[in-house]
Amino acid sequence: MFATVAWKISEGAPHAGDIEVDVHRAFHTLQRCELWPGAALLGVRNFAQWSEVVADLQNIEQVYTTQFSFAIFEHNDRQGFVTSEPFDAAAALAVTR
Amino acid sequence: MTRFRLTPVYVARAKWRTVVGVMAFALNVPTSAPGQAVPGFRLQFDQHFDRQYLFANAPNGETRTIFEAQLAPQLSIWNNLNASYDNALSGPRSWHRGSGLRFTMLTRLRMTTESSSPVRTPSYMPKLTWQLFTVRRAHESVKPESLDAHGVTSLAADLTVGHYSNGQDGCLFANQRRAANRKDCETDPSVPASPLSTNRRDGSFSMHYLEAGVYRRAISLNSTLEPAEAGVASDGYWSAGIRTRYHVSERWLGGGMSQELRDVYGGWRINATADKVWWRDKGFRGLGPGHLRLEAFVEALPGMSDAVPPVRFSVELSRSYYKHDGWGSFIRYYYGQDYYNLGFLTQLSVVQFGAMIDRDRLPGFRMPGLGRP
Repeated sequence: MFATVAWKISEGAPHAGDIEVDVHRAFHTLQRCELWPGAALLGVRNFAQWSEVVADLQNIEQVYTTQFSFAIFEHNDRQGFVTSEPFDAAAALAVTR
Repeated sequence: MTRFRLTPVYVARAKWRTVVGVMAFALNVPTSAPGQAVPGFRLQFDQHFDRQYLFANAPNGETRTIFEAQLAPQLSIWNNLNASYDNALSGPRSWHRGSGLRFTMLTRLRMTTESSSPVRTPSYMPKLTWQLFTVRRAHESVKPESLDAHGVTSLAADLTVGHYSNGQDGCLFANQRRAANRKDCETDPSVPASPLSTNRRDGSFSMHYLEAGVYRRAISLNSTLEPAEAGVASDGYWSAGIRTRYHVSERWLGGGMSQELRDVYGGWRINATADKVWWRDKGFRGLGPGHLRLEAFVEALPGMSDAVPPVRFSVELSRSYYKHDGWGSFIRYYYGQDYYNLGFLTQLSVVQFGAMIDRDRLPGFRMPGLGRP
């Protein structure tokens, strides 16, 4: 399994830099492919990793309630995608297996 | 010009290739895909249903078999067990009920060691089974550590209407012969009546039965297993169940159990089964993930003739591979009454080993998600 994470930092948020760092910390050492700023594929392989990422993102939202929001989607291995090459397709293939 | 000649060596190689080809087809080799630690959950799993076997008996002095098989092709009329499992981790903790109805063409046959290796009087056992089941996680929390610690509980009950016969029309016992009316059987004074034995060549064995069973299964989850499909995988379960069977008399329904058979076979059976299943992520020579099962079975035979012990039992160890449709291997020790139609007055103590198909696989569960009610 793998996941797509999308997050938004409000325009002019005073802690935009800190939030961005916290989001990437929330991804721990999982394989990832950054699609564009605020969207990434994550190599979440099991439920334990999924729960950890979700809990960390929820913690960020609790701290920066008005400045941060996110959505995370679960996927089955080897689900396909189409790209116009805005990102590293090889990394995406590694994450999606 | 070199001409190809069909020498014995080529023939031997061709036979060998044929055997390998057939085995590869049967085992569907190779099918391994990188990264698929736990195969998809969408595959249907059969809970508490018959497995299929192809095996040898050792020793085979009593069974006199080259091989024996139990075939159980199933027609699933409906089954929403997967849907119940899907919902078990979502929403508040509650029982998720479901049911299934299926027809099973259960058949047992033995190829004997007699001249021309006949398959003598196969067991023909069609049955219709209605199964009710309910699934619930054992703890309210859906955090990984809680799911891993408490798992999921499943309860099931089934009701079966079945027929069991061997398709023959001769007299049941060896000391019987056709009466003058060509319909009934009468005692043949030229054959000793004791010890009582069955007519293993073409004796007619027939009954209908009603069977009911209840089962409990405790499934352990492992949130660190890596399923191919988004979800939570299980890494084992243990289950226990009790079944009882009533043999319907021919007085009530044609083809039912005759009084002479009932007198020596008994009208009831009561059995208990318990098993423990462990997840195994690697198979022999890359056959892939699957499970290891240890199962014990014991059955009481009330009303049975003194020719065999009043209890029969078996212990079985098996390994099945999920990427190969549940194919695998097993070894079993069996003791007690011969379960093969006309063998019911014979006692067995045999080791059975061979191939089997086990689709009672470890279940997977949909992940609890915020976006899912």
